[in-house]
Amino acid sequence: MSIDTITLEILKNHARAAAESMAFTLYRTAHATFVKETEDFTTGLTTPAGETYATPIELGATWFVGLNYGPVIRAIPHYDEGDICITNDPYSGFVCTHSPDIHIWKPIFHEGEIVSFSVGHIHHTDMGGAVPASLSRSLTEVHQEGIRIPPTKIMTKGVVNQQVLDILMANVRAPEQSWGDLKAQIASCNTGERKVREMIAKFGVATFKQGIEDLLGYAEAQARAIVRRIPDGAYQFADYMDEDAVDGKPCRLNLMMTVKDGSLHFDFTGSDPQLESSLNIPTGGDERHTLLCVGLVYALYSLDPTLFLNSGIARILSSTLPKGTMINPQFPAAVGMRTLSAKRLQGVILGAFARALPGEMPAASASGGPIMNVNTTDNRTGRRLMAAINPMVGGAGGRAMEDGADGSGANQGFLKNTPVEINEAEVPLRFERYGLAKDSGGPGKHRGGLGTEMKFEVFAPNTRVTARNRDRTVFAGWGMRGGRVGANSAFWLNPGSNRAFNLRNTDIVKVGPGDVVYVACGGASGYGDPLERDPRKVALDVRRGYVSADKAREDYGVVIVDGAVDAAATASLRKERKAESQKGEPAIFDYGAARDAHEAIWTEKSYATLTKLLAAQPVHWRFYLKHRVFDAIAALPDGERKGDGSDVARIFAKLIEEFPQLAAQAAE
Amino acid sequence: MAGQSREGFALALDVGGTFTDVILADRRSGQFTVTKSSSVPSDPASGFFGGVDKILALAKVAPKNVSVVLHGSTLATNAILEAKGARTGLVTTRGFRHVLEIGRADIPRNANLYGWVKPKRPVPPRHVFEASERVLADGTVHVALAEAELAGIAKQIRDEDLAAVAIVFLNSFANPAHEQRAAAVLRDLLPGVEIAVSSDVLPIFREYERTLATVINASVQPLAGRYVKRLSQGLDERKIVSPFFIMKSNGGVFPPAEASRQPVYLALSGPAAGARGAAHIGRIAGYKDLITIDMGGTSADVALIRDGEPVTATSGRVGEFPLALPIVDIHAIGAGGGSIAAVGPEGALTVGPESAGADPGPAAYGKGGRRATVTDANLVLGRVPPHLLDGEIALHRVEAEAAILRDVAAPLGVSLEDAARGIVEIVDNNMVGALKVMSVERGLAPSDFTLCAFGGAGPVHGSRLMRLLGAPRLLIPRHPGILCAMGLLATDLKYDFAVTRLQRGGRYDLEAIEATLRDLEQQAHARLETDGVPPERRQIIRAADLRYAHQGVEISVPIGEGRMTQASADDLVDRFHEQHQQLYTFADRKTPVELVNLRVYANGLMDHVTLPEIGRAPAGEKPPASGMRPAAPEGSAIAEVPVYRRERLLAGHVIIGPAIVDQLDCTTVVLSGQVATVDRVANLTIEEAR
Repeated sequence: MSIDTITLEILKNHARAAAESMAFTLYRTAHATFVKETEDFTTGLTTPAGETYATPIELGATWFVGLNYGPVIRAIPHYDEGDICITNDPYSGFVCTHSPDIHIWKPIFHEGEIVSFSVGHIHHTDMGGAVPASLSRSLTEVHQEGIRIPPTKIMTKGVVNQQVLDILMANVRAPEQSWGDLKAQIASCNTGERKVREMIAKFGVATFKQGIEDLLGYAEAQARAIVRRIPDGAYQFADYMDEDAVDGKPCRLNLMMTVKDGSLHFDFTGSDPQLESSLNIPTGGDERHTLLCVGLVYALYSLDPTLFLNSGIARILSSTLPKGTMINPQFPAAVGMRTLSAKRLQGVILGAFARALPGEMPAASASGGPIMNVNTTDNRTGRRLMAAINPMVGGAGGRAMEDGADGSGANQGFLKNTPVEINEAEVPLRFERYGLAKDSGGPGKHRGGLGTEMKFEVFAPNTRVTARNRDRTVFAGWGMRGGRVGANSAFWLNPGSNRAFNLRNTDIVKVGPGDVVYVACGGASGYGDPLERDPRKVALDVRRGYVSADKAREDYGVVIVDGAVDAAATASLRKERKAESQKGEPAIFDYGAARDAHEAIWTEKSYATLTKLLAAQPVHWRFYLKHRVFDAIAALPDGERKGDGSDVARIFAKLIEEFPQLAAQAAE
Repeated sequence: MAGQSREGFALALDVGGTFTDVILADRRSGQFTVTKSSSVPSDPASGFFGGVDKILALAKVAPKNVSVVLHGSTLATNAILEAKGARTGLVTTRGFRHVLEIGRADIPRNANLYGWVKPKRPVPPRHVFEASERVLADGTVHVALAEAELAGIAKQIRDEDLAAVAIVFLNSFANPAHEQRAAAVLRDLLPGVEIAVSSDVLPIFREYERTLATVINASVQPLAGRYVKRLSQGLDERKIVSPFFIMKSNGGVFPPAEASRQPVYLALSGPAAGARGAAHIGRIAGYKDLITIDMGGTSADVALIRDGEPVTATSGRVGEFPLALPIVDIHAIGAGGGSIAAVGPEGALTVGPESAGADPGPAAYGKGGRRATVTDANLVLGRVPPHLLDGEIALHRVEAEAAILRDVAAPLGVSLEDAARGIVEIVDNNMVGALKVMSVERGLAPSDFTLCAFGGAGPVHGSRLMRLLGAPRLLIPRHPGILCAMGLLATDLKYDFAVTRLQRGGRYDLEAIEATLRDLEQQAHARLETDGVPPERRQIIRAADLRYAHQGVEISVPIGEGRMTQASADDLVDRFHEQHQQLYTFADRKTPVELVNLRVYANGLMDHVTLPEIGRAPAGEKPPASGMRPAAPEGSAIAEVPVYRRERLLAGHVIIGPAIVDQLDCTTVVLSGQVATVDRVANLTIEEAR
């Protein structure tokens, strides 16, 4: 029987405050740069079965609310009071999704019975393995991504399991930081335990036990109510990463979202095969996996911000996650850089919602800006320094009613920048610029938000600049209803000089004294026809340096003379432009020139054919075969590509001839 | 400085949005006269003098006998919140024009991520001008200030008709020369334009926060300057020649000249005055550690008093903006008498943060508000009387019942009374959450604190909050509705001087620290000297903001007295570890501790007005009940409960709960199992009966 609504409301507030308090403890005590700078951590409380019933909203990666700790909880055969368990293995239960995330869970007992778990994770600075920080796109096996601890007790009955700790600390590059962070996690779990005890004292154990189940039902009911606003039907959306590996091919994520009476089904058939890079998304085939839920929660929350966030929301979801694809990779595929692909995954889900509710969802938000780290030497002291200097972010997409926010917004909104003054005090760098990138916002009646850009000079030899999660150098986001895509991101060494070099999607670059690094996040995309944008707004954008006068004319058809709108010239230019543009309703989406060019060759039919043919091949062959097909298609003379799938089928047949063992496999 | 005199009368005016609370106190006896006058938001100075004239006439005191005037104003706060500051420009370092616009890039967590609209900055991007200059983090000049460019900037400022300009250059906390030089040049070029310089307003690193404080200051300067000038002139005209002080966000006061120069320090002065008043009452009642809750119509402000002083923080928020200035540490939540109760589509009852405010107000006000509020629930439960201000405002029970029945009882399928109880239960639990944030979350046990509840709605809820929180007692001041004005009578001159001097952990440069602190102390003494504070009434406290290497948040720790030595540095670090332990449950003694900012707090001590004593009841006398009222003070059914008049209570009177104590502007509820005693200055102290 459910508890009464007044008690449930009070319990809800207590539960959220408890999770908030856990997050606060962790945030203020942790050492990792990832906690400080990007709040890459979670805290929460789960039912005995592992469903998260409360998460914080003020701190942390607050959108990871779909976490189900069930698989790792069940991996430990017996719990005693005072036990605390950890795992960072992406292939043990699929709660952890890459090795730097150490997940922790502590059983909370009441009179000998487990009534709840306090849980959470921190993205640790380093877990050992092939590269510092344990993350690189170039890695291909999870073994290269550092030590993996399967679900294990780090504390038994309140005593640290020193052997496990010693093994862990012997394998990581920053043991003191890691131990400091682990202590912060333990402190956070203990805070959660204390809070749960307070709730039980206040509400009684029976009410508490029923109440936390009711909280899951509460969120589920809210989520269903939101989804019922969407007409039943199927909504497709796809997007690309520039590369499926270092210097690789375009990488596609494809979603068919089916809506039926308040329930959702995500079918990812048509997404790329498992990758020979660390961009795989380890869902383990869990159709309500937390990485699928992030985009879902974003979409639902933007449609109704009163949504109570817990894993009850996930109950409205089922999914098809084909095995051996990038969205359900098989052991031991590397997964470390899933941050980048998971972001694209969120975008694909938002895009499907945008197709379903184009009047309510925004155009694409900015993307492709990296998290920047610098590893350099202080010339005065000779000391080696490492610092996270900034996450480069951009604005929100334009919406039906207004412009997107500039320089920040949407799903990067939880990232805080590092003040230039702190960077300069901590690392020997000199910043020449930190600001909004002119002309980066996608044109539209409601303009996309601008991206940020940064330029700094380096003073010591052997300085390494890391730019994790770079993307969108080639492909852009999506404009809506006549709005156009935002600018691509950029990464340059010594721009504007004779030593200028385009670093494109490079993760890491070695630079020396006198070198200048420039990095820019892409801009967000626009909404509505830019020719319908109020010319005064365009003039204001020019005055404040957001849009150049050239682009005002080119994109918006607005002629600016001496800072003011030339009304007559604007009217005639706009008339001319209107006549040029197609008649009738614009398509829902504009994907930009690069994607249009790619899809002119790689049509929907070509992809469908490739997907089907690859699915019949062994997992470890698929990535190779995809690349061979891509090369062969690229080698075809322009006039000879039919784009109906027959090119792909013909090329594939030749490959099977070349490797007879595959034919046998396919026939089986 | 007449602030220390015990002669004459102290005049305190706390100007709120609707009313101005005015107190005139005899500084020797503490006897005082209280009145309320209407605020005049369109012309705040005339509202101020309305209050002055009203109280002098009421108390029949000659203006020349006023020996100090103390003033709390929301002028700057409202100007900031409503973006009504002057047209302001910003001159900043070339390459960093968008710092203010970008902010820290993050957006509020509970915002709708995709629909978030960035709050408008006090300076729009088109009024931000870049000057060629560059100072590095260690204070060295990398690019000299291009003074010639300033003429062009000045022309644009004139063309744009800007009334104020902020000057903020990168790393100016390390070397203010460029900023100061630019200010001098622009002052010459732009007579009549107010100028604010970041190295004067807030010489602390983090360019966005410093820029924000400086542009806010600049934008409010013209308004604050005019206002303060009018007040000073008006006081002169009335022959009130006493010193005049204005409340700041840090819980202290400063003179008008400073207020017009640095009005950003006024931004959060409203809640600070309340905390100051509670500290004063607590000290007199003998309780130095308090947790206070000021519950009004829209929000509840929670503050902490330790050892008789409001706890301050080194930063706070005003509206949507962070403000990195010392302020009384306040945790505000949307819980007040006007908080609206509603049932969502999933059948959940929520209370607040949406509020009916004072206008239209709760349904019971009969002023057009139709939605059920906390006050309506209290009325239905008999916890408040059917009228306010001794009948000046009638409360309409029928309207309250209708609203609760329609909005809450019907959708939930419960009785009227259960719905009302649910509303009170939820708002109380929300407030206890806020009380815990300020106590338990900081490693402090509520059992060590006296709860002090005030504001129009605080005393009705206080007794339940005390029980839910587990505080040992509840203190209800004699005049809970005017505690902010009382706070003005018990304040000191308070200045904060700070500068960023980053030093890595391990070995500190003690000489440099000492030199910086001395420099700050010199500024502090000079400031107090100007205010006429004699040396024996000066209190100078050194402090440092410390953090563990790699951490992103600092803790401010007082530095022991005397010259900085290795021993005092060790002691400082020790106390940092202790505070870290208390706040965050552990200390990390192996990790180096970085020193970030150095601070000097300078107080000029003033004599505080004492509270007048009331008559003592004969031993064993029972207080006279004025009648009975059907009420449900807590979860129980409605029954007849004795009602007392607060004004008739004498020192030593004891009231056994359940009981209700009505007074002019609020009501105190005593739960069954609780005992209320009246102290010599008419405070009610409520404890659980043993």
